[in-house]
Amino acid sequence: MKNKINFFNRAIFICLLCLSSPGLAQNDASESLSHYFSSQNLVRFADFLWKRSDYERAISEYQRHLFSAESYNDYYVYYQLGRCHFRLNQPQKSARYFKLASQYANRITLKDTLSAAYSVAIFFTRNNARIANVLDSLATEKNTPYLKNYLISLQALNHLQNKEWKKAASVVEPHNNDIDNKLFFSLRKLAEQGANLSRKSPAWGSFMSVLIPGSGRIYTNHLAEGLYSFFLISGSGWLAYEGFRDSGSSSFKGWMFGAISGFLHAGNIYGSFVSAKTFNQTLEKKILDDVQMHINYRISF
Amino acid sequence: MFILKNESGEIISKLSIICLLLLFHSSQNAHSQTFASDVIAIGKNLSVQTKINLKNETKPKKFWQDNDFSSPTKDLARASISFYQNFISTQDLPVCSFKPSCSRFSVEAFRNANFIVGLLLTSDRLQRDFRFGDSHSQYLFDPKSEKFLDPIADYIDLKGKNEKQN
Amino acid sequence: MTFKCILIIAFLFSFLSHYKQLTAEESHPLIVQAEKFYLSENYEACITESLRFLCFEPNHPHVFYARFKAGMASKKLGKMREAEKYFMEAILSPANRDLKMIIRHQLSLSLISQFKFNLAKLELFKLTNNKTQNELASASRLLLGLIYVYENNIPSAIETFSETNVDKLNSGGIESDNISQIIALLNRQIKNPQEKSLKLAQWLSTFAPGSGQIYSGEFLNGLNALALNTTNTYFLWATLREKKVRDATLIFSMLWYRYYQGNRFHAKEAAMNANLTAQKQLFSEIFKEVQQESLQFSNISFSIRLEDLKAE
Repeated sequence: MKNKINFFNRAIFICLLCLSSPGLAQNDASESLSHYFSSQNLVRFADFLWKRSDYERAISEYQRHLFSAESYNDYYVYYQLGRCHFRLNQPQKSARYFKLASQYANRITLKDTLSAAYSVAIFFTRNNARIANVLDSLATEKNTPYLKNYLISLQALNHLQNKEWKKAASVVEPHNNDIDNKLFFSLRKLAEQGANLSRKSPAWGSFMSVLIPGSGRIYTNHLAEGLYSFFLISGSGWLAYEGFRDSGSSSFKGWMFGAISGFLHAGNIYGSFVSAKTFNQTLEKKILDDVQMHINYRISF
Repeated sequence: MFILKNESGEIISKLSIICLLLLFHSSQNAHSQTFASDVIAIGKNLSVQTKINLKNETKPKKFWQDNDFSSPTKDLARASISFYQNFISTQDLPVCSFKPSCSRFSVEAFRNANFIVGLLLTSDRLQRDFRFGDSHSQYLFDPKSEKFLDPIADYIDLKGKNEKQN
Repeated sequence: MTFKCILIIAFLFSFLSHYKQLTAEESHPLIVQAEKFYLSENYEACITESLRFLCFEPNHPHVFYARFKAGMASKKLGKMREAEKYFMEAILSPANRDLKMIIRHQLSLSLISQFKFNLAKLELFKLTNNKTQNELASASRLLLGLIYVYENNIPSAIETFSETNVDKLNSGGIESDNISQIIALLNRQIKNPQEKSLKLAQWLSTFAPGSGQIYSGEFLNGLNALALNTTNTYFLWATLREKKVRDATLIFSMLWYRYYQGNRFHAKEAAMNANLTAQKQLFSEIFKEVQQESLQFSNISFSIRLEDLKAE
């Protein structure tokens, strides 16, 4: 009897353990789900996520496809991965995938498009040495005219972005008569404008402020600031002089306004120096904005 | 009922069955979000309010909490500015044309540059702080605070400084 | 033996109800998968599977549920903007009216979390006018009242909370103590507002610098204003006494007038801050009552489950 009871206890325990297994409930469901995780459907879903701008999820789905046994048409998936990383502002990873895509591509025109995408991703890494190396390595005699002009324009834009006006002009100059003439013409014009900017000299601005307070600012076209500084410094200087004139060298008013005047005058000299530099930067910024417009135009993916 | 004088195997099997039951019951209702918990979450969000500040600025860090000043002269400058911010500026009208305000700009100048450059930048900023006609057309205008943007980054290379520190 | 029978029956009962959730044979497997991830707190995976369902079955009748589930998962992750987007899409998908009301309720919660009160109020108005789901209407009235209190719109808050009690009486119940307490607090606020007058603060500071700040409860600020204005006045008087008119003009224009006007400006700011503190105090008292009242819904989860889809 005791043995029967023990056996009954153990049987119940084992049955309950088995029934509690969640796996039993799911066999049917997992078979019907596998259809959605086929290679083709993974890419289809990843494309759906790309269209919804859900780039992080799209990346994980594309990578799931790559890890599946039936991955096909790899160049497209690598290209899409590159685009997703580019949209997420990750140019390094983007460049890696574009390079892989161009290696897997079979048609020359496709390879060119992918090489162009790779070069743009490298361009956005802002690593000048790497940009120069990559653009030089991609430039071969076998390039189609499309890729050739693309690479030249990127080289010129890189120099323009780094304010290397003469180098940019030298890159574009030999190709003035080629196709895509308008682009090279506008890049050459930007390089010329950059080289011939009417810059202000910071040293000269500071020197002018030493002689006449506020004149350094007027030199950099900031009339109101220059006049205000002039009145402040000369006013406090005059009050200091009055104090010393009335009460001698122990005048509190004299020393206080003298210190204020000296403080403001030193600041004005430094400010004129900075103002001239800022003026030059503002001039260059107008050209750099045009350069940025050309860069944005180059990105077509 | 649970303390039995039989073999220990029977006690263990009974306890394990009870544990399994409890597991099933708890797992069913573990993740239901009730209205009461939603209300608590909303209350936490809504109870966070800042004080009204008509100058449209948040409170600056207290002088004794600010550890970024490396020399006694800078500490003295920071203390003077702190005195001005807490006792003089709190009684002043919101007349500064720029964002950040002149005292904040000065604190950042002393934080990121040496004492002399900080002093010169402060002096320069004070001479530019006025509103007269179209005098500040070279600065970007912030419509929310109705002030011109003039950050310290335009005068000091903060990126280079951070890279050196890293 | 009896104990064993009771254990077996209890276990089978709980297992069958759990098994029912796991299989949900009539639901799409992707939706079931999303539900499983949601229950196991894997919210990112839940959103992914919901989106997968939307990709492959865009015309399925349960599309609204996938969007709803993605919204709930986003809400759990604290991504309220995304949750709002999914709930809006779910409302626009074809679905049963009652289920849409539940989606509206969740949408209103996500809008309130983002401080989008005007949009939240639009959704809550629709919910409070819902005659078929009384608990949802009551819960929505609580939220609406809370928003009105936050915005300091006391009359609308009183009206909204009063409607809750009226509904309870009409449906044969009794008035809620918590709601009555809220209405009493709000009525007290209207009759005896603990507000500082901005004009009075400014006028006080006009005649006695710093008194406006002291009236608003900011003693140190008031003393500071008094000290600064007294110092400036002394310098002005001392200069005038020595008959230095030009120096006196400079001190008056650059120091005295500026800090005197500043004192009046900050007196107004101090009064506004005092009012904000009082408003915050009222809100926290009312919120405690609302929290107590919300416990009556503790057995109700305003959500849609897989079983609800099967019942459609």
